[in-house]
Amino acid sequence: MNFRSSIHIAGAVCLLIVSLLSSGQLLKLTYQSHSPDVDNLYLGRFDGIKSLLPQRGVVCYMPNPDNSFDAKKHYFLAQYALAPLVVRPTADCDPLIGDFPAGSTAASVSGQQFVVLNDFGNGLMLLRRNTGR
Amino acid sequence: MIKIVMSILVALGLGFSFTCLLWPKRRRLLPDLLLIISLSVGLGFGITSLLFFLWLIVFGTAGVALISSEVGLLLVLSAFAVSARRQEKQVDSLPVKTIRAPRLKSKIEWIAAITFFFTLFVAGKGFLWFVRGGIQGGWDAWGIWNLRAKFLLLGGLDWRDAFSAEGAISHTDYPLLIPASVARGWSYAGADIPMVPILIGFLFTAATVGLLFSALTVLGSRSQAFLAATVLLASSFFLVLGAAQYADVPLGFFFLATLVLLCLHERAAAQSNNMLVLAGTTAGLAAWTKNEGSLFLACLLLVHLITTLRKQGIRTYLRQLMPLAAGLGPVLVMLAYFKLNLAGHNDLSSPFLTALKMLGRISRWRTVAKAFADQVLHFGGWALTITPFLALYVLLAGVKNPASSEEKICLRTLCLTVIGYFLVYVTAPVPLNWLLETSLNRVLVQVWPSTLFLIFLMTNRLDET
Repeated sequence: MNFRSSIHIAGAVCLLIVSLLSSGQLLKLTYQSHSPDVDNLYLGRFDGIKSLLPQRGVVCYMPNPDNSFDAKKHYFLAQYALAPLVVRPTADCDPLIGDFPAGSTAASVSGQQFVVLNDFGNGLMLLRRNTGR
Repeated sequence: MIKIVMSILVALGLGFSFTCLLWPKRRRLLPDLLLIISLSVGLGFGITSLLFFLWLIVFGTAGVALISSEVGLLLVLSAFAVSARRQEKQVDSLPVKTIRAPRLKSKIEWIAAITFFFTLFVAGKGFLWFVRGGIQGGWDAWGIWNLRAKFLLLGGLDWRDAFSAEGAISHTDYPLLIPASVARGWSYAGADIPMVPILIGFLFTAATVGLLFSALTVLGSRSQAFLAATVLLASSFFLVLGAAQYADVPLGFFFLATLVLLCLHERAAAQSNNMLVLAGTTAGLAAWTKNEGSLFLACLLLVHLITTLRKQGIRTYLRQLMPLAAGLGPVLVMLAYFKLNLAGHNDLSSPFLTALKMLGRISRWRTVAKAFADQVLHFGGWALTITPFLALYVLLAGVKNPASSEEKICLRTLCLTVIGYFLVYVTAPVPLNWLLETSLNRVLVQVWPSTLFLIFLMTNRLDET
């Protein structure tokens, strides 16, 4: 074995060792337990409300009023859960879905300009705009 | 489950028949089997996603009739493939080294093989672990790809609502290979179950590794193939994205497939130009997967034009362009229909004058360059950063000289694509730091398999030094 061949093999062995270290790190990770699959749990909350909504078209959605990352994520999850309905993130049409996963109660919403048609628990509600009719 | 398996087998069958139909007649199928099967995954999902989209345009909804048509097409295409291969007497594939030597030749090859199988085992275990952590996939999976798939399948005649401006549906300009593949799988299964996109993500991840390994075995040596595939499998972030059902892994597959087929074309050029037809198809499917694929396609066509014209003249260029265009054409027609009739605005492209203004801001260049340098050094979720070790390997192994014309085209295309990505970041009309933080690591995964392919193809083989 000549010198050129030896250093070539040394380079290959280095790559293999680094790969083994990375794989070892991944292997160790696989023995850890998962935190709950929060996205899947979030999507499951919409199972009950689907049957009360039209099959196609547009529904309105009232998110948690804090303009946080979570509120944005919850809107997109709601859109995924309710597709093929188009979910408009404004409270200007009926039916209207109230999504307050932090735990708003029906009372806190009904006092405003909306009527609670159905409270599914976990902060998910089917609402109607209170137009006085 | 049987219905899901059937949907996958029909897609793979169509991809396999299509590849066999175009595989050069003088090459034997058996030694190239892993290569062909790996290509069949991408081509199969590509073809069936195009058919699904065409079906929606023509008939409005997908159902049993689509399944019957696909099975019929599979039978016809298989019959064509078998008959085409019987027409010419098969002779040995002499110009190309194929998987012929079943025995491992040296100690280092043994070590590389053992390490490869260990990383393969860990990667499989890791993939399952990542899937169990979030069966709906990552944000892009439920926020873009699978969401679009729900509209395409469950929307019935209103499937165009997927691109509605009524809600806040994001990235409606993104192409449909993944959404159409998922919707097609759901139409076979009869429900929008998470297993379908998970399996598609798994198949693309596995096919990328299979393609890298088999292509290097055919074009280089088995020890190089083991090394490259081991490095890819040990890149945790590649597995994370595959399990999260992101489109970056399928896009990376099509980049790699295109470069592999171009290199194979060089070896098979005397026999036929069919590899170029396949390369045109995979390049088109890259554009059908993500917008970055269109950039890759443009870079490929530009580099091919300049390199071939300069070295081989206009005749050779046109002779090569025809089969490339033949493979590319049908995909581009569908993509153009989508872009012109359905796609929304591309939120990453600026008007020309705004882009020019942004190009003039040195601070943006500096920010993007710093982020690129940082990602290149800390990329892929490695225990120890891989980049210096790869650079050291190239230095110690030495680069093969001279590089072939096709290898030059591949290398230049990949470099130009990365430069294109860089410029997109500099000119993007969205908050730059946010964009870099949320996408640059994924963008590098797109070019990672192709980078490994070119590194291990263009360096000296272990048994040559």
